[in-house]
Amino acid sequence: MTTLVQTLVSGILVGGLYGLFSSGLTLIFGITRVINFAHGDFVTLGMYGAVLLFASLGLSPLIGIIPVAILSFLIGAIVYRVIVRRTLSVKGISAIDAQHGQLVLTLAVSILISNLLLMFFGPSPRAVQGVLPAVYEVFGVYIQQARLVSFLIALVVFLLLYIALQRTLYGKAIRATVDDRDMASMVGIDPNKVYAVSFSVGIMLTGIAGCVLATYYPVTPTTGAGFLIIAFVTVVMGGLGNIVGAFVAGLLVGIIQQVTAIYVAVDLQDVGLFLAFVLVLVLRPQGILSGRKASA
Amino acid sequence: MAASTEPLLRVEGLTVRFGGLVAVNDVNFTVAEGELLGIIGPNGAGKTTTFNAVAGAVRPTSGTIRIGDALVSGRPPERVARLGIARTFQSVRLFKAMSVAENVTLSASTVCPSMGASRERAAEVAELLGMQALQDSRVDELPLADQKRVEIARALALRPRLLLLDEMMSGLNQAETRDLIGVITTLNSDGLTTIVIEHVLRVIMELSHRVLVLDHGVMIAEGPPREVMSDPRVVEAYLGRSAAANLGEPA
Amino acid sequence: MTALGKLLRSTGGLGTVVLVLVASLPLWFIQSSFVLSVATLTLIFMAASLGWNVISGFGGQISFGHSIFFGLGAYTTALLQVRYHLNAYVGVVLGVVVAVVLAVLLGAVTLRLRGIYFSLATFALTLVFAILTGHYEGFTGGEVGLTLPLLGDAPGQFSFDNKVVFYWIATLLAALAFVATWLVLRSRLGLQLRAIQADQEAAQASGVLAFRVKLVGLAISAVPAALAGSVYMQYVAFIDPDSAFGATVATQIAVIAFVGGAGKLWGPVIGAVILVPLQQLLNSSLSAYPAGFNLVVYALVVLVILWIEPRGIMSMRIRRRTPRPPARDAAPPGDSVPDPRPVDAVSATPSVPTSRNGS
Ligand SMILES: Nc1ncnc2c1ncn2[C@@H]1O[C@H](COP(=O)(O)OP(=O)(O)O)[C@@H](O)[C@H]1O
Ligand SMILES: [Mg+2]
Repeated sequence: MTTLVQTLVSGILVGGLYGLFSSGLTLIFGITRVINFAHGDFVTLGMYGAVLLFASLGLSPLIGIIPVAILSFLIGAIVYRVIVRRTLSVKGISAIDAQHGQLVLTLAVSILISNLLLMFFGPSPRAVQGVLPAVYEVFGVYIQQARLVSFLIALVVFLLLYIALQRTLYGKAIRATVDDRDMASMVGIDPNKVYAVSFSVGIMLTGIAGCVLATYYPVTPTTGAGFLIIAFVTVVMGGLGNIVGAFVAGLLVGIIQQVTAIYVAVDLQDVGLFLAFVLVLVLRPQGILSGRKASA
Repeated sequence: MAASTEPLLRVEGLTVRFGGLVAVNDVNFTVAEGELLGIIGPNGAGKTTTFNAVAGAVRPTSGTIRIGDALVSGRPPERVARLGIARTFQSVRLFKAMSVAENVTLSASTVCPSMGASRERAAEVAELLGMQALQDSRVDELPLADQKRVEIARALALRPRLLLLDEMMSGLNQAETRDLIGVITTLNSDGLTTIVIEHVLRVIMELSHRVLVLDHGVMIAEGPPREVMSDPRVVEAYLGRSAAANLGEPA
Repeated sequence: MTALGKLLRSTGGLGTVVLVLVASLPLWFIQSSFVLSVATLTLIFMAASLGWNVISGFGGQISFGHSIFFGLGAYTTALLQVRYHLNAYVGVVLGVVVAVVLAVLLGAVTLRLRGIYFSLATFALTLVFAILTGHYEGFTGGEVGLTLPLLGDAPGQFSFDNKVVFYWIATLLAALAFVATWLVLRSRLGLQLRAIQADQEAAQASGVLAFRVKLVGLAISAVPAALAGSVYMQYVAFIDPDSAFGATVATQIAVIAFVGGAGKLWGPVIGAVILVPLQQLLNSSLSAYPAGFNLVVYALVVLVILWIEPRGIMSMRIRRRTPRPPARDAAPPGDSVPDPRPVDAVSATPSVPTSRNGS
């Protein structure tokens, strides 16, 4: 029983971070329809950002969030402006060809990022050591301080995103675009701005998730591939474009992973997840947490 | 009206819901062999949804659809097409980046035994519609009127027993409309049973043997064009709104 | 024979010239074993990518899981020899059988998905294969991988001392894959796959049995990928889960075709000729570049090519200053009138080298 509770708690704590970077992906996909194959590598980039700031300036990842967030936002803006926009501006290209182009271009960005990291940091795992080292025991269940704090930060950032989407002008424009893009552009919302902002914000959330994840999760240049699939699993389970769904599904994915790891085998923790993913896709493509019918 | 003992198409109690919305509500009608039936109604009346149900693209919530003795409802669209129900789309949906010949050969290939036979069938249809000169053009380079013709050709290549035409005239000018009416009339007088959905009343009046009026998913009138047009319910539901201008000059 | 005659006349004319040229390379051009190895690997991955082109290029169902068939070909060939001491050729044949059976089984599930969902499902599945192969090490050799026993020169066992033989086998494989995709493209299946890619609903309304057509397309497209895996296995004599089913192989097969031109007959040929040597050159142990540099260059080359033309090299236009023909009247709204000049011209091939194994 304690094992089960321990498993669930671990799953939820890591799941909060999955939820955060997945809400970044779902924001990007829901609005720009771009399949961002480099998404996992933006998590890794955030993690290395934390590692670098800690190693060189002694900056705790909790403060590092701010520079990492700003940089991620800028990188997101550049990737959108230089790469994604390009596929849409080619003369006579069909929507499908443009989307395939984005797929392969972001895939190339993924290879680029992971190997730049390999060049500069080498292949061995890096981590931010010794920040938030405490371990709490609650009724026989152990909770690491780093995991708990990371989870709380993820939750707060997610709530801020949610409030921003509800309250700010950009947030309203973004939601209007998700609901009905033609209508949105008819009422004078500039889709290009909305796309650029949501792409950048999506990458920013992802960078933040990576930054706090680095407090307990060692990072290598290839860590991103796993996060990519996790993000897609989460986004699909939550219903594409559904931000709350993505966060909740993140928790679920964390739990599925931990349960498989503890009760089946550690190295198979992703198999259960990926098979669940394919099943969800086939049986309920609109997501398990979404009441709406899938449009794709 | 073409007199025939057994109807070719029989639609009974057709209802289609999208979530809470009842797009088609308990609609019943038949189409006789060789008949040309017109379906009219304001935007959102459920005309296209009725077509989609007959073509298998939308699964009816309830009701049955039969062509001859064969049950249509419940079958996927590709099976329905092979049963002899061919359709066009309200907004042209050709295979872009393919030539006219390829577009038509494609649908012929689903009913012909070989590619050679499919190409022959496509050439036959092209001749029937007078499109031989266009065969090698890419469809997305054609003007809209020609694209609509290709859609008809693609449907005809299936050797259909029933042809469904959804708002063919939208976007066409007067001369093009006249041309297309000629094509549809000729096909029908050669024996092809046809249902047309139209917005332009003049076209329906000219083409149809019989007209069926939908409003909010409900069939509110049915009968010969002139009778239907003078039905007060139709005048109120339809003519009172969008198409009063068209009524002014029945052809 | 008639099919062969037609082949020689149309694209086959060019194809034959290329084939003769490629087959004769070792006699007059390839002088080092390194270049021979690069050329052999180029042809092997070209074959896999040609297979990919059938379901993904023609059919528009973008697979990031063709590594499954590549890996099954490689592992079946290896396991039958190592575990059951069977002849390698039996392994090659069974590798194809296993790959086709799995293509049908996996396709029955995944081909119901549209667009990106299919891509994601196939990607997840190949990673599942990688993890499972690593996990069941008692049978598969696990993460350590499998090495073929040294047999020396034994043509009866698919083992040759002279590496030129592998080069010619790879040439034959790529040529057969090319002819197969060419035949598919001209066939009813090819036409129906292209229609599904363009508009699946419209294809179904025209009577195309979309699901069945895609399933057959996937099964056919698995064959060259599986054969490529088998030949790769016999040639390199080593396989591990990552080089069989991993994300790198999975995406590489697709990227080759995308760079050359997905859905274009010559796309995978051109993509492989550019990308595989690029990968091998900087990845060789001879290079003094830091780890990762090779893939950085590779990624940049892919980025630049697809930035210039997202549809790949085969869609690049040669700029000429001929006046545009007058636009035709009444094009449908929203569709720009495409330039009707013939376009499929190959521009100069970039000569930046890179690699993308073993990061
Ligand atoms: N796939 C669908 N999902 C949800 N609602 C739909 C769908 N197709 C049509 N509708 C709705 O059904 C109603 C009838 O639509 P339609 O049959 O297209 O009307 P018409 O062709 O007469 O203009 C409309 O309110 C439309 O919005
Ligand atoms: Mg309609």
